[in-house]
Amino acid sequence: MFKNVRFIIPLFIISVLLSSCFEIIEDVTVKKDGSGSMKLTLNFSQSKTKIGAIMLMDSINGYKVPSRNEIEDQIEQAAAKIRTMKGISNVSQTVDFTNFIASINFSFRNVADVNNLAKELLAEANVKTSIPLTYRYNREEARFSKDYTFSPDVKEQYNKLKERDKEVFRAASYISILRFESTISSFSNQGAKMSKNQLAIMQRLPVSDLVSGKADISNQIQLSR
Amino acid sequence: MKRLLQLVTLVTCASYTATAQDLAYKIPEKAFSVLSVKSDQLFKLYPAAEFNNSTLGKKLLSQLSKTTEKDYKSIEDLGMNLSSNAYYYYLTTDSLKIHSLLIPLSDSRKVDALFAKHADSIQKVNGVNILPRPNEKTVIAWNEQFLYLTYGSVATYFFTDSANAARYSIPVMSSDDYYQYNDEHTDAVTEPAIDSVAIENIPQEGVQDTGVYPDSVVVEAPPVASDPPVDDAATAADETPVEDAQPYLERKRMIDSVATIWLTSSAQQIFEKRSSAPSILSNRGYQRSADNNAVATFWMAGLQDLYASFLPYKLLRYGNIMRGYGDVNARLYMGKENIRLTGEMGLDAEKSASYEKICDHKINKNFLKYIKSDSLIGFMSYSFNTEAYMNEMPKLLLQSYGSNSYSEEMAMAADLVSVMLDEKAIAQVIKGDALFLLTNLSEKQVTYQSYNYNEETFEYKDTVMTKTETLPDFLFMLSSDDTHLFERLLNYGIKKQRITLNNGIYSIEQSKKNPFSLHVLIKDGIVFLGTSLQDLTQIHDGSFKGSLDKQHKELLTKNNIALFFSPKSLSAKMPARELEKTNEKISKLLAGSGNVYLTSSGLKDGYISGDITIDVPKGEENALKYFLNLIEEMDRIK
Repeated sequence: MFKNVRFIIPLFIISVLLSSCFEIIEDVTVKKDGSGSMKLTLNFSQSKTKIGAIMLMDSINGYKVPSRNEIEDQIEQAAAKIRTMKGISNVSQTVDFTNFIASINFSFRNVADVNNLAKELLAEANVKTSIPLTYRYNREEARFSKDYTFSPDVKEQYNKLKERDKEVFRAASYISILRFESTISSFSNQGAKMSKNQLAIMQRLPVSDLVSGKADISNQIQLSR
Repeated sequence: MKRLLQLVTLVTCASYTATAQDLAYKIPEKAFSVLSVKSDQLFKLYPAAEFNNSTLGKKLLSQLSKTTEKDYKSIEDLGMNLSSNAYYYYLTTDSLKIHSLLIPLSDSRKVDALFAKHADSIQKVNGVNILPRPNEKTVIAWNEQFLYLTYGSVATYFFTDSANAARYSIPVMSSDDYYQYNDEHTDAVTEPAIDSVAIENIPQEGVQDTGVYPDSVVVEAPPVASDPPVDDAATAADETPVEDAQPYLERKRMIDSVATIWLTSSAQQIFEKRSSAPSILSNRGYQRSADNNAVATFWMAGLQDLYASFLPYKLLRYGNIMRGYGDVNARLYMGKENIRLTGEMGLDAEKSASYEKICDHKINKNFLKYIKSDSLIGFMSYSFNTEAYMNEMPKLLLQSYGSNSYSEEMAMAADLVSVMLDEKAIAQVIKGDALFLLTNLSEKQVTYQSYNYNEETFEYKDTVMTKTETLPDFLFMLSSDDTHLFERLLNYGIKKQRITLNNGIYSIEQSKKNPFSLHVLIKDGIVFLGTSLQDLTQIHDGSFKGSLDKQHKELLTKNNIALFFSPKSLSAKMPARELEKTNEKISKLLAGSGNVYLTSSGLKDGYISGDITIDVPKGEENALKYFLNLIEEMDRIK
């Protein structure tokens, strides 16, 4: 009886706040020798009222809402798995349950290790698609490439979403930052932007453009030798 | 003359109800549950001609035309009598579980035509057409008055009794064999290699030997290869699985054919049954549920029986959890102004006494001063007697769990709880009544974290940003005669610098974790918790002006639980910015929806009851049309 009141409030909040958004930040630093580090951040802070309300409940629309402990466990397990992967070191992760921000950091010996990591994680999650994003670094030519292959499956899934759920992806942003030790002499993707010190390149776009295939995030970056 | 007129009216009414209840006397006295649909009520609300043209009607008719390969243009083409009651009932006996439908007919020739394809299998007995369909475990029978459709299966345990099995020449399988078979041969039975051809090759004659089935029926199932070579499949079909499945399938078929014979004879009995024979009409619980004004009624024998009927024999000793809970009924009413679903559950004397004490509590009248009915979005209230609840709960638990092998332990636990808790003291702190008011929606500035990028290096820093969010305003009230505990908690918060106290109002400011600024006030034995400082200040000063309307007052004072929600009021208060974002149709739907009420008013004649009422918005003809329109509307929202 007393419990019910606790659930009524979140229910009303959810019905009022229909849209929510989030940010994905992919921050990669590549050294001259091809090694480097990566930080992935998932920021749900803008939707924290809604998520906070959802997390007070046991389930929503028939889906079970994971508890804080379960989320922490899942992230811990993913990090543990990454630690065992070839070429990956210095793995650390943080979860902020006040703002609903999660991030994971790690170092790699070679960009190919990152491709491998993505592949293994997808296999673990039983996702049977080729990885859409791969990195390549040619040390001799000092050329870094980010190849994005758009998957029509993803678009199909996206188109099946209700208009209201699509809105979530339209409001969400994907931010990619690539940092280098040498200055950038040229890059192929016109949607990207170079920092003033010419050592970094950034691209920002709505997640919906990414999944619907509207935008391309492939980029060939020529570094000065 | 007046007397005579009265008599005539009485007789016509009685005969009307008699015809309206026409088929109810066909329902066995021991039926476990009965659902009746008053088609005359339904078609009064939604004339058949209109229904045929509605989306739902069209869908139904086209589906019907498709499955029967006939062209149905109207629901009336089915030959059903649309001004009489149709019934569904469920009956269990020691040997059979039967689901049955009784549908009154206006034109049996239409039914004859419907089953013309099966003319060869139809038996005619005393003017009754009987069509047994053993494969579907179904018997369809009809005469000129009504159609009877029954589906049944043999109770699992009936033929495990060797005496029963011998009577019907069904081979005995001990329950152990049965389970062993099921456990270990599921693969074999579901093995795709067994095709219907293989099964049909099994001799049709009944297996007459009642010899014991050897334990060695355990034969390795063939390995399931993802793409087995043809030869393998053939061997599999010819040898192992069939050998395995044969006794099982053969026995199953024998049982099914016995079931069909039983169903056929039970169908005949239904047609022969006279209105003077004992029927469900002599059941008081059922009579209570029958109401000619309802569109549909449902009745079910005791919850305890239902619960126990699903328990296997081995677990029956745990079967007392629902003891004391009696029959259940529900009635659905559809009128011009609202739709109402009301449900009841009977309680035995012991439970009634407990619930009577628990429900004996009225909501704090002082709450009512703080309601502004004209602008309210919704409320929820409850009032129970905490002290009685604490006192009765161990007893209720003991009734449910106390009669199995743990009765001693349960009794001790119940006593222990009573000793440890001071029911009176707890009831002083939380008296048992509370009211939650959803008063408004307002836009508030909410902070969130994002990043600031340095143009020079693209390094980024965490920054706090703000955005506007629409949040509900609410006021929660709780009765308490001893507010010390709450005050101590609040003072502890002040000490920890989480709470501030100004002019008698405790405030928990909006923070990263908490999107609301919450305010607490303790006054006149009420703990107030709300989002609006203005409201709480006015309550504190005594300058708050409530405006309670009669309907809300009645809902709150006459019920133990009351919930009210006005979708229209919600949509009116939703900020324009939010509305733009929301799907236009959803907002329209909200604005056009009627109020929703949910109530429960404690005990009446040994029954506890609950009601859900939904108002029909102005402009809609009646409840049924409103709901069918709503369904169509929802269908269009993608």
